[in-house]
Amino acid sequence: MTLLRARQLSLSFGRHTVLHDIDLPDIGAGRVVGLIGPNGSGKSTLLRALSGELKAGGEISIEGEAATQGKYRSQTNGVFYLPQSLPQPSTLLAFELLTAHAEASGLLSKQNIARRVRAAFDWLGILDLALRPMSELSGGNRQLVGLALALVHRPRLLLLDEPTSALDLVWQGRLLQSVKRYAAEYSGAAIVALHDLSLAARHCDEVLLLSQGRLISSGVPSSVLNANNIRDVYGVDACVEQRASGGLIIEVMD
Amino acid sequence: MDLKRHEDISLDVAYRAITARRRAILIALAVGVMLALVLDVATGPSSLSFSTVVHGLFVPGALADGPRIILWDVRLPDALMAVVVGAALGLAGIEMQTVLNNPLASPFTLGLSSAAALGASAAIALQLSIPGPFPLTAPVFAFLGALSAGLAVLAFARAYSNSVGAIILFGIALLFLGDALIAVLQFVSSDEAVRQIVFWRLGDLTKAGWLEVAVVTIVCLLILPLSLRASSALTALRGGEDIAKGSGLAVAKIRRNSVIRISILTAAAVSFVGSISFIGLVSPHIARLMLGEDHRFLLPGAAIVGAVLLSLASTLTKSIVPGLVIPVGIATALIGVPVFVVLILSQRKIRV
Repeated sequence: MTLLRARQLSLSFGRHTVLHDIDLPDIGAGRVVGLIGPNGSGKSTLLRALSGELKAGGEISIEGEAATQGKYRSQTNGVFYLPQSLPQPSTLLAFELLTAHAEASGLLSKQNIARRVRAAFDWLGILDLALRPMSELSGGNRQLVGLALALVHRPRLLLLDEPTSALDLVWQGRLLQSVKRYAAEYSGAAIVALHDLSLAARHCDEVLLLSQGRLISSGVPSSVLNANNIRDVYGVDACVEQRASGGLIIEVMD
Repeated sequence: MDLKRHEDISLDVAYRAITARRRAILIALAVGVMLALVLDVATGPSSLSFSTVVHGLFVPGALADGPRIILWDVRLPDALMAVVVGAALGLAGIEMQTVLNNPLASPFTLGLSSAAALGASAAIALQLSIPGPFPLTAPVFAFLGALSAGLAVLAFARAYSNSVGAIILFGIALLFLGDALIAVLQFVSSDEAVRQIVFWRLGDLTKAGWLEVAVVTIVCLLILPLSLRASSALTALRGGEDIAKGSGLAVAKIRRNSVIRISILTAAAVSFVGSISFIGLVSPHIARLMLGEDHRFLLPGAAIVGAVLLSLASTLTKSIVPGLVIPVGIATALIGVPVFVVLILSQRKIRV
């Protein structure tokens, strides 16, 4: 079933056009889609447009319903946008941060909130962080708390902006695995902006390659992430080696 | 599975212990307010013994006319005024620090108090008046002043992406502007108006009567529940503005409503006792250290800490020079400046 359909998305900041008529392939339930492209290619803007935070031209529909644009719709339409910035350090406990967000949305009953918040920490295997102040957590742990926050509302569509930027090698993979498991279990989907192409190849069902606000290529990772596309988009020569495991090793040549 | 269940339950139990401790701290603070209030009432230029004061509070008829008037018409309204104004400033301070994400924010440091004083001064100097049974003119103009400054700070904060330093500098600019315009008003006003305006610039509790106490009390009692209704949104903001927006909170609306509450609280405090610095800035920090940042506890906590601090400051102003009551605004300003400097210096080490 199609969860997200987006056609002819365009968006400008003043005279500067950031997104040029982007047609996304339909994204179905259970899929984890990587969004890749150089800095400034429009990844964050695309995610923010899909979340409804920014008003873009074109059509967006979620589960067949046209989405109102230019208005945060994450609460009602089951979309959650997790920005690149980590939850800021404060003396607030991680548990309180999630609870407050759930309460402020006004969509869940009190008992439900307690259960969902616990389940979100549990899902990521970070129950031990729940009662610690955010200021005592490392950047990576705060990033994980951010993802737990995103899961509390059980959104159908998760939009994650570089959710692995502060994580170590093990947690990068573990986080994407959790997202995949989440998409499968709750028949949701996720679009994940990533800089690490190998990581995208290893964990994503499809990837979208963005350059200067245009969608250059999309499809399974092995078809999109080839030497030609990398040269076109990043302007460097790369050696791409397909592994038997399905992963890709991408080495940039000097 | 069993292990997981066990962890779930222990999380609940552990968090319940944390909230129980915070509740106990709030109750202890409330007791602290009562003690500070009694101490404040028992202190003053005319020598009434502590036992006379306590007895007179419970059985007013037992006192002679003189002591009864001193106790019930002078000391008690002043002391209660310190409590309610302190609470209003503490609450305004915590809301301000949270919505601006700025540990140096307070109605005083960001110019809201100054703008409120300007509004009240303008009403006096230009002899404006709102008809009606109550003297509403100064409070209403003070509110308009505070609200204008609050909205200006908010607009500035949005334009300059909430930089802590830039917001403080803008607030100080507003403070200078307010003071400069008050000076202009004084220059062109009659002597009587100048005398009244000067009162607004020196926070002074001694002019409060029962009516003023009642008005500020009612304002606090109306605003606190509204603040508490926003407590989860305010707590959520502590995770950062971007995250709050991503999760679908109407951040702009939360901030705007908060600034309206802050302006009402500031106007109520400033209209009747003048500018009082330090309380709105420091109470939130003390409350945060004691209660953490869940605003269900932090909002009432900052209000109560503000009440205790201003009550103690009021007692202090009556104790330094025997027989003389120093305006409380002078005392809080003198104590507040070094505290403000310490807060600025600590910014590199702690992030609040």
